[in-house]
Amino acid sequence: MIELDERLTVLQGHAREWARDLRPLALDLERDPELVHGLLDRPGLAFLARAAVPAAHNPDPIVLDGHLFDGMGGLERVTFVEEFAACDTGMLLAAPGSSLSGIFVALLGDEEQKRWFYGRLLERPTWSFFALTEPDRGSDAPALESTLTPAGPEGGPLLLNGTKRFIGNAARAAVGMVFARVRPGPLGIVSVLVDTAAPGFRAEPFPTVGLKGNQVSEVVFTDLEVPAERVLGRHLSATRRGLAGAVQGFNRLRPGVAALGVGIARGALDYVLEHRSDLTSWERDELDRVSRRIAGVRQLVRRAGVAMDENDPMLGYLASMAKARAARLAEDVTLAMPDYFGPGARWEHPLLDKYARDARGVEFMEGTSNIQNLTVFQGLSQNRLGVH
Amino acid sequence: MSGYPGIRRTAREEGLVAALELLHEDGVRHGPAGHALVVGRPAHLELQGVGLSVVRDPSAPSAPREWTLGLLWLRLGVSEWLLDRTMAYLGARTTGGTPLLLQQMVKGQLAEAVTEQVELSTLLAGRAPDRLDDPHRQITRADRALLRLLGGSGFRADGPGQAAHASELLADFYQEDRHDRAR
Repeated sequence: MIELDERLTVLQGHAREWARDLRPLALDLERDPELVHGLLDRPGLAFLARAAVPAAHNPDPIVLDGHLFDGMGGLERVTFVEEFAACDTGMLLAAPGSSLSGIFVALLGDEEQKRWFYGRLLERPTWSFFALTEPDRGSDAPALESTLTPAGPEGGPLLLNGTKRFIGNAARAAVGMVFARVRPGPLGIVSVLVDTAAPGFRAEPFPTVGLKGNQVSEVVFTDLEVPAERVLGRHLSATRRGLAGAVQGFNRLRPGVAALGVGIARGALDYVLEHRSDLTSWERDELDRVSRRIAGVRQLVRRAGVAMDENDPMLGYLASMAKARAARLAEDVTLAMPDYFGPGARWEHPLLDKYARDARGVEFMEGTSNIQNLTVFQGLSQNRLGVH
Repeated sequence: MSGYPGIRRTAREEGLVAALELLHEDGVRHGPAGHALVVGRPAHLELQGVGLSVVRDPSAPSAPREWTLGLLWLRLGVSEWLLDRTMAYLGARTTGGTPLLLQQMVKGQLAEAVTEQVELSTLLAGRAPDRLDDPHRQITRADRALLRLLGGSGFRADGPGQAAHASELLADFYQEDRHDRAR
C-alpha cells in the first residue's frame, strides 16, 4: 500500500478544499468555458496557474503549512489531480498554467528557455498548450507532418507550418510547445516553444462531448516565426531532444492523466453516497466493491507516481498500466452510478451525466488504452517489468 | 409505430435522428419518470445538425413495452451505424504505413463489438426477454468499445460519438424503474 506522507496529506487536504470551492461552477463552465477568466483568484486556480514550475525557477514558490510544492513530483501530481478531477475535470483542464508543457521544458529546456517559459507563466495567470497530435496521425506521432524550416541563413529564425488537433486550451494560451519536423525520419522531429501573439497562429475550439472547459482546439500554424533559440533541447544530442527524448516527458505526463480517471470515478461514487441516504444493504455492498476497485487502481497510479519520483526505469510501463486501467475504471463507474437514481438520472443529476461524458475524454488523452497496452507488452516481452 | 426491422434499418442507414422520429411517429412516448428525448427546440444537444430536446412530463404514462422494445432496436441500429463509421475510419487511417483496421488488436475489438450486436439481435428476435436493462447495457458496452477505437474523433460533439451519447440518454430515460429509490 502506498500511503501519503504528511507533506502530501497537507496538499491533498488543500486540493480537496480548493476543488470543492470550484465544484458548484462545473455546469456553468460547461456552458461557458470563458467563465474561467473570472475565477483566477480562486485558490485552486491560483495554485494550478503556478504549479509545474520547478522551485528553482520560482522566486515565490508555493508553500502550504510549511511544506514546499512545485507540482512537478509524481506522487504530488497524482494526489492533487485526483482531488480536482473528483470535483470537476473540466475546471482542472481549464486552468491556466504549464501542466503539460512545463514537464517537457523542465526535461529538455536549457536555462534560457526555462527562464523565458516559466517567466511568462509566473508574470500573471497564463495558459499554455501542448501540441503533438495531428489530424490524420493521432497515435502515429513519428509520422507527423508539421514542418520547421529555416526562414533565412542558418542560425536565424525558423518558420513553423502545420495543423494540430485536439489541443486543449490553445485558443486561450499565450505560450505553447509544438512538435514539428526539421527533416524526414524519426530523428527529424523536434519541439519548439511558441508565442501565440506571433503572426501565423490560429486556434479554433471545436465542440466536444465532455471536458468542455478544456476548449479543445484545432491549431493552424502558417509561417509562424520561431527564434532558433526556442528549439527545445538544442544543447542536447539529436536523439535526446527528438521524439525518443520526448518519450521521457510523456512517461511523466501519464501518471497525472491516470489520476484524472481515478478522480472521475471517485467523484461519481461520492455523488451517489452523498445524494442517496437510503441505500439498501445490497446497494451498500455494491458500492463498497466499487470503492475497493477505485482504491486498487489508485494504488497503481500512485506506484507510477513514485516511479516518476525515483526515476525508476519502469516508469513508462507503470504509467501505461495505470493510465489504461484508470480510463476504463472511469468509464465503468460513471456508467454504473446513474442506476442508483432510476430512470432519467442522467438528466435529473447533470453532474453524473457530466462525469460519464468527461470519462470518455480520459481514454484518448496521452494515448488510447490500445497504445498503452502495446507499451506494456513491450515491457513484458523485453523482460523489463522486473519482478513486478 | 413502424416495425422493428424498419427502425433498426433506419438507425443503421440514416442515424439516430431519423429513427427516433419514426419511433415517435404516433406521438411522443415518455419514460417511467416522464422524460422523453425528441427532435425539436430548445436543443439540449445537437446531433447531425438537428436539435434534440429533453422534455419531462411526470404525469405522462410510461411508454408501452412494444415501444421500449422498439427503442432497443433503435439503439442496436445506432450501434451498427457506429460500427460502420468506425470501420470506415480505421480503414482510412494508418500507423507506420498500415491501416489501423489491420492491427490484430483492433480486429479483435471489432469482432467483439459485432458479436455483442449479433448476440443481441438474436436475443431480441422472436420472443424478447422480459427485462430490457441488460440488453441496453450490452449496447452501451459495444458502443463504448467502438468509441475507444475512434480515439479523439469519437469525442467530438459534431462526430459519431455524439450519437452514442444520445443513445445512452435514451437508455437512461426509458429504463424500467426497478427500484423503489428516493431521488
